[in-house]
Amino acid sequence: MNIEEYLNIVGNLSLAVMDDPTALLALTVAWLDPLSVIEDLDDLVETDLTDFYHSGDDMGAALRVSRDCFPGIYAEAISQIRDGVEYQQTSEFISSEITNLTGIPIDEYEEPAAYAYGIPMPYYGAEWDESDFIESNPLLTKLALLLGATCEQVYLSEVIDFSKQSYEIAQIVYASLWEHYDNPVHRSILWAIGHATSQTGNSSVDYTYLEGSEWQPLSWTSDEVDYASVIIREAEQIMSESYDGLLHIENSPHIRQTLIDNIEEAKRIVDRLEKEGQKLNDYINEQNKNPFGLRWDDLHAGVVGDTATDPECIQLRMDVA
Amino acid sequence: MTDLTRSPLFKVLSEVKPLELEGAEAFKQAQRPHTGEFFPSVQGIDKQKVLRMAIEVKEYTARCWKGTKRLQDLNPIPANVYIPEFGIL
Repeated sequence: MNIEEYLNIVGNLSLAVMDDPTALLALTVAWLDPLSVIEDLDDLVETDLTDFYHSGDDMGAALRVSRDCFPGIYAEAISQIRDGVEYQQTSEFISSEITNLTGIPIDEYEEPAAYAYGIPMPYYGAEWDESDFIESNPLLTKLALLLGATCEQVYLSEVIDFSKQSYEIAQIVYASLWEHYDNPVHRSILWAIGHATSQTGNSSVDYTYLEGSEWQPLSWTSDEVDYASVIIREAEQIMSESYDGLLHIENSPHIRQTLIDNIEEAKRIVDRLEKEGQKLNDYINEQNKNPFGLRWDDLHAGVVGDTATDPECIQLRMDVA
Repeated sequence: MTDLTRSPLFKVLSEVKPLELEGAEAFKQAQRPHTGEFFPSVQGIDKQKVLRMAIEVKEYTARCWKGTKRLQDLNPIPANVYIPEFGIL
């Protein structure tokens, strides 16, 4: 029998097998989900991801996570293995596809560790007690000082310290900007202040890696992957817009002056409340984020081409005119 | 408790049509029988379709697995059968 005859027989057998519904079903399962065929499903589902890590089975961890949460990536990875692609390359394919799809930064960790200990999250929190952070974030540091934080010398390093008063000033200014959330310039400044003072409400933006690593991480299940992805995508947007805000404050004297004026106003409010023995949180709440009436209208005319028109504000100006 | 006995049950089960999976159809389509390649590559199949097929097969396998486990765990049911060897009903 020559090779051509052999291939013909194999081909005809394949076609015959596919005519049988049970055989076709078995082949389909083996094609797309071979782990369910070669392993006991109970074992497959219940094996702890750390077991893969401790046994050095990087590929096992990647396949298990992709099977549980990203079946499409899993099917493609299986196909790559069948096509003879090396394990390392397939493992990298899985991690990069997961990162593209969800933003989860697997590539920043050693791969098996990224799977073994829950979903790895990025943390952008301001590390005001780290001189490296201060040096590498000059614009954010300027904003912190503008908000009333002080620069202090601790041993040989400089750190930024937010007093209770400066934090309350930031809280008033930050909360008052929510009224203008739909305007990109206002929002960028809102996020810049929120990042500097860790009050955006997004844990990736507000907390440092050290703080984040103290929590129980999210686990590799579909629901928690979705949740992590929402946090990460929102954090990426906040960080990007926050940087825009820092540039606006740095480059636009008009915006900087409006911000300084409102910080001064917030400082007077904090001083007054302290004298009267009142608490700030009795005034600022979800229903009323700008109880002291801080004004940001002038920002609309601050940056040519960069601002979104606020129809309400235009109406106000037309009425004045 | 149903009155379903063995023979109508067999009839019902034998009339169940084979399950049509999108993955099974795609498997047949992607086959190149005379190349000696048993499992075709999914490269070239639309990613969304691969995702749908993989989810469908995974869910199907899980359902079968659960069904098997439930059958294994069924409690014995007292049968209303006359057993002449023991003279009991």
